[in-house]
Amino acid sequence: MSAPQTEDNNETENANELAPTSSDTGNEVQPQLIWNPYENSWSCFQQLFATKWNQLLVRFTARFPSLVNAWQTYQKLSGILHPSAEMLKNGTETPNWDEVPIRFLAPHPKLNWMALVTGEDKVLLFYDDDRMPTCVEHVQQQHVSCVVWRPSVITTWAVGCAAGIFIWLDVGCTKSIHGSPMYLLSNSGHTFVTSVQWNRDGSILASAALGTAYILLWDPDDGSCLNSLPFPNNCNTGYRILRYSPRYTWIFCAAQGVGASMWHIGSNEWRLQEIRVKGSVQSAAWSACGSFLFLSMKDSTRLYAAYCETSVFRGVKPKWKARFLINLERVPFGGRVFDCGVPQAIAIDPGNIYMALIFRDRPFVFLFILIARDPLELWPADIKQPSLSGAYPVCVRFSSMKETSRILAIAWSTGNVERWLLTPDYVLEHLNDIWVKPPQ
Amino acid sequence: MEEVQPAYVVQVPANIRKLILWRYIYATWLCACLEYVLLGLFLVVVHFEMGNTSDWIKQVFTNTLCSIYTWTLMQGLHVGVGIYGLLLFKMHNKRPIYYATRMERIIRELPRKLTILAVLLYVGFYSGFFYSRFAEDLKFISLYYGLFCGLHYFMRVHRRRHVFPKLPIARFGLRISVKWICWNSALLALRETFLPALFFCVCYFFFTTFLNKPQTWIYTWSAGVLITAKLHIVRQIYDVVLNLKLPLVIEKGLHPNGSQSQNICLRTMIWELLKQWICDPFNENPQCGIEETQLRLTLSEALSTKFLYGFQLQAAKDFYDIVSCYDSPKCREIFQLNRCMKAPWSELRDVILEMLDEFIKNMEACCPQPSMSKQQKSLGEMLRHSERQARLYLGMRPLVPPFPKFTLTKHYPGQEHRCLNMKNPQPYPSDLWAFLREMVSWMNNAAKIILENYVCSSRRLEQLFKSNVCSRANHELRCAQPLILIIQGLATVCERSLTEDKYGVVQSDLKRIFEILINVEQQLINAHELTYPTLQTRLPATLDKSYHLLRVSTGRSLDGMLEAFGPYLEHISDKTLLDKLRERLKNHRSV
Repeated sequence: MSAPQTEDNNETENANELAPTSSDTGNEVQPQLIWNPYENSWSCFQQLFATKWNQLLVRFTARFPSLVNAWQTYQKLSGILHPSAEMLKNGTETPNWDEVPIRFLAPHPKLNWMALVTGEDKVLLFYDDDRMPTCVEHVQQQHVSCVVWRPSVITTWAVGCAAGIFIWLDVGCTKSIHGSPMYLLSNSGHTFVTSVQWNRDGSILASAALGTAYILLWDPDDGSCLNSLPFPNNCNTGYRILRYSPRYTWIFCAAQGVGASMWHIGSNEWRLQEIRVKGSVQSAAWSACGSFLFLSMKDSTRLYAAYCETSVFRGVKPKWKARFLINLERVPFGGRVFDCGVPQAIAIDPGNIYMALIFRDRPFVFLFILIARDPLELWPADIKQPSLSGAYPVCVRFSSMKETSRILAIAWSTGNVERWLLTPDYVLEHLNDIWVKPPQ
Repeated sequence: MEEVQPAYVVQVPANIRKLILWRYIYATWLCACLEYVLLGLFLVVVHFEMGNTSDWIKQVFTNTLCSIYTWTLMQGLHVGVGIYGLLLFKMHNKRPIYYATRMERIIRELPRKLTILAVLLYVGFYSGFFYSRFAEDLKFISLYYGLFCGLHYFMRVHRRRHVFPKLPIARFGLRISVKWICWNSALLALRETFLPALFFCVCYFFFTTFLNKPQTWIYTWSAGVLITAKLHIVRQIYDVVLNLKLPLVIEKGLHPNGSQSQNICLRTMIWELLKQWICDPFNENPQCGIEETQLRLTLSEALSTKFLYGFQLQAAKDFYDIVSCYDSPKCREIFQLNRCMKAPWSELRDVILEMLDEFIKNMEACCPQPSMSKQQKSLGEMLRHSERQARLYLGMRPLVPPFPKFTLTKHYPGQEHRCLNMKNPQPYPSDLWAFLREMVSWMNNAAKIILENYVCSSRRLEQLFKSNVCSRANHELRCAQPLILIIQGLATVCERSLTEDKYGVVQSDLKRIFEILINVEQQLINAHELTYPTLQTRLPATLDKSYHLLRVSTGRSLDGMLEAFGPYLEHISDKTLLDKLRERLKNHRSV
C-alpha cells in the first residue's frame, strides 16, 4: 500500500470533514428524522393489511398448489417473476449486502452532499455545512438497493427498494402531486428494484428490478409508467444493472441471469443491440468519454471493455464487442504482487483518469489509471486500505468537486466512510511514477 | 370559397392532412392483416386433429387466404374497425373542451361515448357472427359472447373520462412494438375472458343441452379471447401509428440526396407502402413512402397546428427528442445560418414564444393577479391563505356557513329578459323548429330550478352542478400540455448553445426567453392562489394534474438554465430581470 502524500493527506482530512460519518461523529451527531411514517395511520393500516394479506396468501398456496402453479406460469409468460430478498443479496454490487451497515453510497453530482443507505433501510443525507444529517425512512421502503440524485433538481432523489421506487422531494419545502414529500412509483410485479437511472435532464427515470423481465421507463413528475423495454430472446430473469452512457445515447442493461443488451437512444426511436457475453455481468461502468463500457463477470477475475464498432459505410448497424482488458487475479504493484481475485464493483472517475475497483473478500480498494490509447490499458496507481482493522470496502464512488479535482468516497464494512480528495498534483505524481517505471 | 370548406381544411396545412390520412390508411391496413392472423389462430383451434396434420393445415389455409367467402365476410369487420380507428384518430387530435360543470361535461360527452359503444358492440357482435361461420357449434353463443366482449372492453377502456394522449417515452421499431402489443394483449385477453366464458356456458347450459359437446366451451373461450385481444391490439396499433416519428426538419431546404423537397403525393406514398409490404412486411422503417416523396414538415409548421391537439403534442415531443439527443445532427442545424445568412432558429423561436405569450395572456385572464405587495400581510390576506390558522391566531370562532336560500324562482340573466317580454306576449310561433327550441330552453330552465332547489340538497349531487373556481384555469392548463415538453426543449437548446452556438443565434434571445419563463412561472404561482380557501367557496378548489407537471417542468428548466448561465448573468442589461434571476439562483443554490 502506498500512503497518500503529506499534502494530499491534509486535503483528504479536509474532505473527510465535509461529510461526518457515524464513526467520526460518535454520539454528537444524531440523524434528524424528518418523516416519521409511523405517525401516519394510513401507513399503519397498510402495514397491517399487507401482513394479513401475506398470511392469507401463504394459506392459499399451501391448500391449492396446482392453482398457484398455473397462476405463476401465466405470470412468467407475462414477464412477472417472483423474486425474494435472498435473490437481491446476489443481485447487488455490494458484497454481503444483508450484513453490512452501509449498503449504498451516492455523492451528489453538484453539491458536496452525500446519501448513504444503512443496513436498516434508512437513507441518511449528509450536508457540507453544520446541518444535522437527515434520515429518511418509510414503512414500505424496505430492502433498499440504490439511491440516485435527480439531475437539475438539487434536493430530489430516487430510492430503489422492494416495493418499487420512492421519489423523495425537496424535503420540508415542496410537496408532490400526491401532497406529501414522497411518493412511490410501483407497477405490477416490478418489485425488488436493483438499479435506477435518470436521463440527462431528469425527466425520465429508468428502473430495473428482479421482479420483471423488462425495464420500465417512468415519467417521475406524473408518476406514471409509460414504456417497458423488453429483453431480447424472451429472457425470463430480472435485471440487475442499468447504466446510461455519459452522453445519454446508450443504455446498458444486464440481466440477473446470462445476457446483456444495449439500447441506442436516438431522436427517432430506441434500437436494441445485444451484447454477446458468456456469463452474468457482475458490475459495469462507462468511461467518462462514453467510448468504453467496463465489465466484470460473476466469478471471473477478468475485466473486459466493450466498445462500439462502427462502419464507414451507410446502413451498416454499429456492433458492440467486448474485449479482454486485464486479468486481476494477481496484480504486481509497488514491488509486491496483490492477489485481487474477483472484482465486485467498478467506479470510474468523471475526469476519465482513474478507475477504482473493489474485490470480493479483499480489504482494499485498488486504484488504476486509465491509459486511453489503442489498445486501452490499465496501470495500477494506488491502493487504499481501511483505517480500522477487519474492514473491507462495500461501496466506492467518484464525484467531481471542481473542474480538476475529484473525490473518491469509500464505504467500509465497519460503517465508516472515507473520502479522498484527488488533486491534479496527486494525479501528476502517480503518472510520473508510472511513466518512469512502467508496470511489468 | 373558403367559407364552405370545413374548419380542418382551412386550419390544417395540406401536408399535415395528407400525413394523417396516410397514417390512418396504414393503421387500418395493419388491422386488416391482423384479422387474417386471428382467424388463422381460431381455425387452428377449431380444426385441430392430432392424426391428420396436413389436412388440418390445408383447412386453415383454405379458409383464410384462399377463400373469397372469408374475404367477403371480413369486409363487415373492416368497416367496424375502420370506424373505430376514425374515432380514435378524432379523440387523439381533439382539443380539450371547456365545461363549466360536471353535468355539462357528462351531457356533452354522452354522444361521443354512445358512438364508441355502438361501434364496439358492432365489432364484437360481428366478430362473434364471423367466427360462428367457421364452427358449427358456436351458432348463438358466440353472437352474445361477442356483444359481451365489446361491452366489457368499452367498460374497461372507454367508460371513464376522456384520457388525453399519452406519448411514449421510447419509440421502438414496428416489429418490436407489434410483437410486444400482441403478446401482452393476448395474455390480458386470456385472463379477462376466462371467467365470463365459463359463466356464459353455464348460463347457456340451463337453457339448452349443448354441453353434450365439451369442446364448445373451448371454442367459445378462444373466440372471446380473440375478440378481446383484437380490440386491445387495434387500439394500440392505432396508437403506435399515430405516435410514429414525424418527418420534421428545422428548415425546409434541400433533401439529403440533393433534390429540392416538395409537397407530398398521397398516391405515391400508398404505392410505396404496398411495395414495401410485399417485399418486407415488418420493415424497420415504417415511414416508407414518406422518404420517397420527400415530405418534410418544418418544426414551426408542426408546432403551430393548434387545430390538431394530439399532433401538436407529438410535434412538441419530437422537438424535445431532437434537441435532447446529442447524436442528432438536426439540432445542430438550429445554430447554423442558411445560404441567405438567416438563422432557421428565428422562425421556430417566434412560434414557441408566441405560444408561451398566448398561455400567459390566457392565464392572466383567468387567475387572480397580485395587486399589492407580498410583504404586507393584512388580516384579509391571512384569512385568504389559511383561514383556520388566522382565526386561531385572533381567537375567533369559525363562522357558520350561510344556509342556502330556498327559492322556487331563480332569475338567470337570460331568463329575466324573457320574463319581461312575457308582459307583451308574442303570437304563437309559426316556425316549428323555433317552437321546439323555445320548449327545450324552457325545460332546461325548469330542470335547473328543480335541480338547484330539490336535488342539490345532497352534497355529492351539488358537485355535479356547481362550477369549480379553477375550472377555467384547468382548461387553459390542459390546453397548454404541449408547453411542458416545449419549455424543456427550449431550455435544452439554450444550454446547448453554450458550446454549440458559434454565431450567437440563440444567445441573442436569452433575455427574452428568461423573461417569458419567469412570467410563465409567475402565472402558475398566481394560479395556485385559486386553491386557497375563502369565505365564499365552501367546496375546495383543486388544480388539474397538468398544473403540477407544467410547474415542475418550468421550475426545472429555469433552474437548469440559471445553473448553466449563472456566470454570465451580468450581461443582462435589464436590472429588474437581473435581480429576479439572481434571487432565483440564490434560492436554488441555498437549499
